[in-house]
Amino acid sequence: MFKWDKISWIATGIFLAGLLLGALVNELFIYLMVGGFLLRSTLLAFGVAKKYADERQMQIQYHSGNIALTVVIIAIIIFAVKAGLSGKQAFDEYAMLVTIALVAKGIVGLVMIGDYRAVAVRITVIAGVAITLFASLSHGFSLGTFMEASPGLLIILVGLIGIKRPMISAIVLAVIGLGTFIFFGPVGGLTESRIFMGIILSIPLFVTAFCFYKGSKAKITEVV
Amino acid sequence: MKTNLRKYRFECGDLSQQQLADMIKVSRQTIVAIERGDYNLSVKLALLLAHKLNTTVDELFQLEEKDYV
Repeated sequence: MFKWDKISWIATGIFLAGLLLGALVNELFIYLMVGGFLLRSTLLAFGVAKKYADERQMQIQYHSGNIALTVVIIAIIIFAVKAGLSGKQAFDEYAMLVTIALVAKGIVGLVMIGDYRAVAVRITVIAGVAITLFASLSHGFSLGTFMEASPGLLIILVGLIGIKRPMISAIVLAVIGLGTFIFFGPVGGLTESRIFMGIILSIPLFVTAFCFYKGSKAKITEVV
Repeated sequence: MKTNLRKYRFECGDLSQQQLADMIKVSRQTIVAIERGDYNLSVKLALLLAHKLNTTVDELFQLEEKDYV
């Protein structure tokens, strides 16, 4: 499909280094082979190596990436079901993987729409509604539910303020994002699930804050 | 979409697919896909092809009955 070019040489180098180090030092180095395999598509996706592919090849890369994502998610679900049936409590890990993939795809897709303010409002409102619903479904209707749902309601409010005052929302979300990262990261101890929660909650907040900041310079065209 | 790319490629000095591909910096497979009608190219690439083959986009590509919505 591609001509043998500079990227091919680098990817082959990484691939062979992974193979050699995996055989001689530690089998974890085998994962370098994955890096070699994904080098071209990753560089193309980030727009770094555009001159090494034409528009049709780019389209093939994007399309195959989307199909790969779907296949991987289906595979994760199958593994989760299999683990569940064999009595292993591994649901959280599998759910994390699916969540990371979907959040990454969702955010990147929304940001690429280009209407930053509308995108920021959408991400914020969707995240706020998700948090509120999660709290409501977990505990039913009570004062505790309201307390637990209040961050979600606050995020919805910040999102709606952003329709008219995007800079205010950008600052508030950046502060909340920083607070979330610190709260889930260094403060409570660095456990795997806390790091995951910190990243999965703070990155969308930072991205949304950035979108509100970028959107503050443009007129809004459509919100929901 | 009907394409006359092959016809204009020959009219413009018997260009090979590889030569045309090199002229507009795409892969030969992309030219093959366009000629077969398997790939809907961008406006930019269509204009570039038309320019290189000394013709117009309208001459190179036409919508077919099934393409009209």
